Amino acid sequence: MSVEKALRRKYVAESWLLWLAIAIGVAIFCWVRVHVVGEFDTSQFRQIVDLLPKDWRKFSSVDFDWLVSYLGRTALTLDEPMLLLLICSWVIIRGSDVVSGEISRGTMEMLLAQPISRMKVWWTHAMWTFVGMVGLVFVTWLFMAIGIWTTSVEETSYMELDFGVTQVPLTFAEPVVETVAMSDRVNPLMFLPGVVNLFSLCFMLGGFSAWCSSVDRFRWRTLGIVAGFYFLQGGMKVLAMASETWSWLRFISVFGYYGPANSVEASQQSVWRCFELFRTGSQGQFLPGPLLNNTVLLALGILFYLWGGYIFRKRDLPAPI
Amino acid sequence: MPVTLNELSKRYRNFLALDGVSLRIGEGEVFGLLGPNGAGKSTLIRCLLGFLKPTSGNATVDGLDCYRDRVSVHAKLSYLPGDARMYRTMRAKSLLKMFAGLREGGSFEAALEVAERLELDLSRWVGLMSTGMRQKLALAICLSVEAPLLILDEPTANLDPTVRGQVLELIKEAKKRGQTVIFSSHVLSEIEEVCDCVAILKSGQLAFQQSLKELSWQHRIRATTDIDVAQQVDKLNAQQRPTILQNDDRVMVETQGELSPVLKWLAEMPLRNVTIEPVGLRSVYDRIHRSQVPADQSEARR
Repeated sequence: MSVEKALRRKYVAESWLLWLAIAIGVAIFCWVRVHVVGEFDTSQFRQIVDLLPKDWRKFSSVDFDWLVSYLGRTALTLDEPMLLLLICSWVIIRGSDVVSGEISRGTMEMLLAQPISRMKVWWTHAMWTFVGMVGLVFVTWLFMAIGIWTTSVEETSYMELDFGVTQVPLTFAEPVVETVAMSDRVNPLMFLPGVVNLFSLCFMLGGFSAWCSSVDRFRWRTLGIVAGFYFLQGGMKVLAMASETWSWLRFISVFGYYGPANSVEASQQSVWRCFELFRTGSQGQFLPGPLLNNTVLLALGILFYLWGGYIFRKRDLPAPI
Repeated sequence: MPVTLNELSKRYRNFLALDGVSLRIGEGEVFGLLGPNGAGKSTLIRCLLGFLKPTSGNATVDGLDCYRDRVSVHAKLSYLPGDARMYRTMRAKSLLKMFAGLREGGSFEAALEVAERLELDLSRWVGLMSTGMRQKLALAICLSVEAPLLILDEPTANLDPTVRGQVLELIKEAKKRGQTVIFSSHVLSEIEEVCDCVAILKSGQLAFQQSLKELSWQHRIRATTDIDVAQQVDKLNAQQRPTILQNDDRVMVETQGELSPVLKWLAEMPLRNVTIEPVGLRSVYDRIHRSQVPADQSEARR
C-alpha cells in the first residue's frame, strides 16, 4: 500500500460517517424543498409579491417577478441557510481538522514521525475535503433534480378572450386547474451555475478553515474563529443589502460573492451571461457578476490553502497538552 | 546511525528550553536521556524529529539535518511519543495496518508479532483502550519498524511490571540487531539496565554525559579520620587522583577509574569506619539536581 493511499484511507475512515450524515441531510432537504415549491401555485405568489413594499426589493439581488416563478423559487433552495449550514459544516469541520485537530488530539506526532512530508499530509487532507465537497454539491443538485422530476404542479388558468392584440381572462368563469410535471416548467440543468457558485463558497470556507487550523493548536478555537467569521460575513451582507450607506460591505463580505439565484437567472437569459464580471441588480445597483463571484471565492480559497500550507511547513509542532 | 547535536538551542519567546546542547551518539548505541520534567528532554527529541526549528545550532542523523531533511530522517527512525495518543475512532488492528502503510516497506505482520508479544487485544476500538493498552499499541507500531534509529520517549510509562520487562527485552533485541536507540526515562534502573551511555539534562543544558561502563568504574569511599586527606593526594600520580570532599572528620573520596591504586593510598592513612560503594546513576542524578543552576545560566533562561 502506498503512503498516499494509506493517508487517503485514514482520512476517509475518520470522516465518511460525517459525510454520509450531511449528504443524507442535504438530499432530504433539497428534495423536500423542491417538493414544497410544487405544492403552491406560482400565480398566488405573484399577487402577494405585488403587495410587498417596494423597499423590500432591495433585500433581493434578483427580480421579484423572476423569484416567484417555479425556477426562481426552486433556485432559492441554494440560498437556504439550512443548506448552507449543512454543506459548510463539512468544509469547516474537515478544514479545521488538518493541523489544529491533529495537534489537539495529540495524533500529529505519531503521524508526522512517519516519513511523510507535511505537504503530503496537507494536500491529501485538502483533496479529501475537496472530493467530499464536490460530492455534497453534486448531491444538492441531484436531489433538486430528483425533486423536480418527481413533483407535479397544479396551475390555475382562466379562459381568455382573444382580441388579437391582447387577451382578456374571464375571471368570472370557472378556473381551469391543470396538473403538469414540474420538469416541464423547470430544467434542472439551469441550476448548474448556482451549484458552481455554492461550490466556490464552500471551497473558500474550506481554505479559510484550513488556514486557521494551520496557525492554531486548539481545534475548538479554530472552529470558533471560523464560525465567527461565517456569521460576521453573513451579517455584513445583510447590512450591505439593507442600507445604502453600508452597501460597500457587499464587496468585502464573502457572502457578497455568493448569489446562486443570480447565476441561475443570468443563465436563463443567456449562458454567456454566466461569464459576466459585473451586472446591474433589480434596483439598479452595481453588483458582481457570476464570473467575478466564482473567481473571487475560488481565488481566496486557493490563497488560503497555499498560505496555510506554507505556515504548516514552517511552524513548530508543540507537544500535545 | 550516528546522531549528532551541535550547540543545539531552542528558545520559546523568552524561555530557553535547550541551551547549546552538544552530543554524539554512536552507531548501535543505546543512549539514555535523563532529567526531571522541564529539563528539555522532549524538546531535544522534538528537535531531532524536526518538529521544532532550532533557534541555533543543529542536529543531524546520519549526516542529514533533522529540520531541513526531516522526511529523509524520518525514514531512518521510528519514534514513540511520551504520551502516545491514537485515532480513537479506529480499531487497533486497522491502526496497525494504517501505520504499516504509512512507511515504505512497513510490515503489518511485524506489527502483529510485536502486539502479540505485548499481549495486546487488537479487536478493540482505540477509544475504549486504557492508557496502558494505548501505550502498548504505540509500542507495537514503533518497535515493528526496522529503522536504524529508535527514539523512545518514556516507553515504559503507564505499563505494568511484566510488560515493562518485555519492552526492555525488545530494546535489548534492537541493540543486538545493531539499531541505535535513544531512550528517555525517569526510571534510573531501566537506564542502567539497557543503556550504554547516559546524558542528564538540567534546565536545558547538558549537565552530565558518560558511558555506563565508565560509570561502573566509579566508586565512593566514605570514612572518618583525624587527618586532612587532601594534603596526602600528592602521593598519587595526576591520572589517579580522586575527588575528595572532607567535612571535619568525615571524608568522601570518589574515584574515576581503577580502584586499586587509591585503595593502596588510603591504606596508608589512619581511616576508620570505611565503606566502599559504586557511585551509580542515582548518586550522579541526585548530585546534579541538588546543585544550584549557575547564576549566569538562570539569567539566560529568563
